[in-house]
Amino acid sequence: MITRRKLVFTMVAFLVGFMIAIQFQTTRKPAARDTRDIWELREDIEKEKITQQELLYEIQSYESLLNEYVSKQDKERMKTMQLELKSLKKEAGLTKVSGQGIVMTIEPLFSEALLGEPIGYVTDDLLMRLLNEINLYDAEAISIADQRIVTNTAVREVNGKTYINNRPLPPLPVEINIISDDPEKMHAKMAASQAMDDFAKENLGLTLDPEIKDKLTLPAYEQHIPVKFMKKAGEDS
Amino acid sequence: MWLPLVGLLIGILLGLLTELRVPEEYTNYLSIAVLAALDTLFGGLRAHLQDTFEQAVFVSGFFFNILLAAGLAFLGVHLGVDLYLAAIFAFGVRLFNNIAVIRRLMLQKWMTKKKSKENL
Repeated sequence: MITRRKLVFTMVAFLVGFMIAIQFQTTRKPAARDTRDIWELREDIEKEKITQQELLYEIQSYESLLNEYVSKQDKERMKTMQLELKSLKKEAGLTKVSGQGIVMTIEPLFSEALLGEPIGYVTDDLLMRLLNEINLYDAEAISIADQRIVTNTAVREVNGKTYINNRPLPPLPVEINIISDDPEKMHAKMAASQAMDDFAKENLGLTLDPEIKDKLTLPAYEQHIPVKFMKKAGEDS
Repeated sequence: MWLPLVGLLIGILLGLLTELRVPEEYTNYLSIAVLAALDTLFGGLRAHLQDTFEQAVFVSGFFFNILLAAGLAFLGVHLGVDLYLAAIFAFGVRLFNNIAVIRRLMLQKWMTKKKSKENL
């Protein structure tokens, strides 16, 4: 009888052990494996190298700037700083900017009389999508209805009206100006863009001016850019 | 005494070697089932030491407890109440009780053995 009891115990212990092992194996997370093959690795290295180079360039430019600050006389120093300030302002979109670029126009696709229903307005989602796409193609500066788009431009919908930089969008047609370093490429990309179809779904026509403008002038961002996290550097830093 | 231990080891080894995995959603049930099984095992050991062991009770208790615990967890999931906590609590308390009794019994045995040796 004792042996039989032992056998039962053994069987139960075996089952318990089996269950514990399975539970252990299930809860143990499989180690994340690197499944990139050699080409993907090479691409990644290439990407990292480019990033590194860009960072090095940036460091170099800042170092030369610092050198200029240090080496030059007071008057010249002021000049360098002012120059830097100007370039920073330009980058932030606080100055007028002109250059080669393209023009797009948003207008109603079919008239109200034809459709018998009111024309939709340009929704904020639609504009955001378009802006994202334009930015994707390396736009230098963008303005929509003479409102300059900067990093903290807000595109919002308030009570059925779309606001850009807290200004309501004027009635259609609305002009979008884009300045780019490579206007031909930008033009080609925008000509093939999905955005036209997206606008057409809302009964809005997004048309691209067929010619590349040699001199487009975009207005400056009029409002104050709030600086939240930057602080004045101390004397010793 | 060593045969159940060997069984446990073989079970663990086999479980690790088969690389069997339970789907992620069912790990809760399995953990409770393991707890129930452990409880039954220690209960059986205690009964064995107290000479109240009954094979039918042991075997039926093993499977019934596992099913009950998993069923409770299942019901809990569907009711939105963490009923499996009840199972964990019950089995946890019983596990500690059983192990305490086993420890005491073992200690007693050892002491009497020692005493008898000294008397010799």
